Amino acid sequence: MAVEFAVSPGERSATRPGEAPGLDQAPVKLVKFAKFRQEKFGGVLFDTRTEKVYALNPTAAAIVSEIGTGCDESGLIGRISARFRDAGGSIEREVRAFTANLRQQGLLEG
Amino acid sequence: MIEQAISTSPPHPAAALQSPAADVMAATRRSGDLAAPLYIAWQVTNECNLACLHCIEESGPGKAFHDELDDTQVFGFLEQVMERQVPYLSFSGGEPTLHPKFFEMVEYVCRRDAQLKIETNGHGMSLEKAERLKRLGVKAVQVSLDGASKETFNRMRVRGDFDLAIEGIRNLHAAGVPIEINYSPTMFNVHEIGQAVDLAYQLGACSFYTGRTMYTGNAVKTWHRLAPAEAQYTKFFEVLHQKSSEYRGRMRVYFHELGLLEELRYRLQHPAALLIVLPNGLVKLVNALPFVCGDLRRQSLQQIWDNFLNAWKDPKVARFIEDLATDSHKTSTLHQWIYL
Repeated sequence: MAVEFAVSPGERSATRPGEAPGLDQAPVKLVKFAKFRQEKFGGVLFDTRTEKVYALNPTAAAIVSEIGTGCDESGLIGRISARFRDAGGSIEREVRAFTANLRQQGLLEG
Repeated sequence: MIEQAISTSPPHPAAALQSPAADVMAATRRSGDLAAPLYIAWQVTNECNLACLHCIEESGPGKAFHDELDDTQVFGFLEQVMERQVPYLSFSGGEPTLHPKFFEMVEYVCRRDAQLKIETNGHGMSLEKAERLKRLGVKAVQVSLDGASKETFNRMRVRGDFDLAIEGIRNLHAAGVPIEINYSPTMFNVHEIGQAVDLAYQLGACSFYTGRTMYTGNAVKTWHRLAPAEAQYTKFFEVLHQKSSEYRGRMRVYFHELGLLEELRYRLQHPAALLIVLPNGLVKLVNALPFVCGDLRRQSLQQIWDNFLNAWKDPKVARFIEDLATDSHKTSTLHQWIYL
């Protein structure tokens, strides 16, 4: 069955220098079966193993897109922080929660 | 805030509309939000070495369409699919491995990092071929196994042989190719469903798919010899519920209990991001309907995708589906294509 990640972009509209927390150097990588495609609304992540489709909003799509370029979790947080204004300092928490959810769904290696 | 996994689409039917995998694709956003399909189910040839009693495509020896896509059209289409970043394809038929360019097509898709499933009867699946598929990186090979015994399987799969299918599955397993099993119920094999699920697991399958057999294709002529009674279906689904629990975490057992009408009503409201491509390049809305929404020989994939999204809104489609409520035999004419 299709499941949706409904990921809201929050109020982020400008960039600020990234502050890589350096907490987690483990690489984050999509599993082979997870395929990502940019869409006007953000993106879709398709787990071809379970045939679940996840609709991603722009923030989530940005995270998955960055994952596709190859980085560790700290680097990922830094890159996303650089792309979106982090008014409440919540980027790190949100990215970690999101990647944890991707892991739980079996969409990330490791 | 990032909210995660907050909604799950309602369960919806799948199996009988196409290959079991094909219909589980409806993103919770509407397909119309997508720039391209997510899945292309391509019947690459109508030629088959078997002549199964229930074959929806009426495939068989000598049944290749006279106007199947030529090599230039085949690879031109694949290039469009890759350019549009369609992440998932299946090759079926007929028997897809009989297509003269089968392995070249597989290589083309896998090399571009799309996921590919092969739907085969498994009869010609030597260890060498299985190893080649493994090396190329196919996502899975789905083998039809309608029965847990030679007696039922061979009755259903005219010209087929249970032992050859099993041998093909064993070769796939030995080569390390993920295996899926597809099972079509009939009045004479429905009682074997439990054994068939067990057999699939023993053979190393990762998934097992089944649903109600459709009244279309060859089944129109053989329905009196095929159609399970409702009481048989009741027992069939009871066993499947049981097996689904039994194999949880070890092998996925997918099955869909709803009838075709309910499935199509659901699909009308939630079109899957899926194109069904016929051997001659015509593109159907869904293979349980006769409607054609494009022709790859004359239109680009993008044009066909746009047509597809509009075609689901055509009143003729809704009318056809509702007519099924009073005339279930309308599915007997699925191959009399209606162009939208």
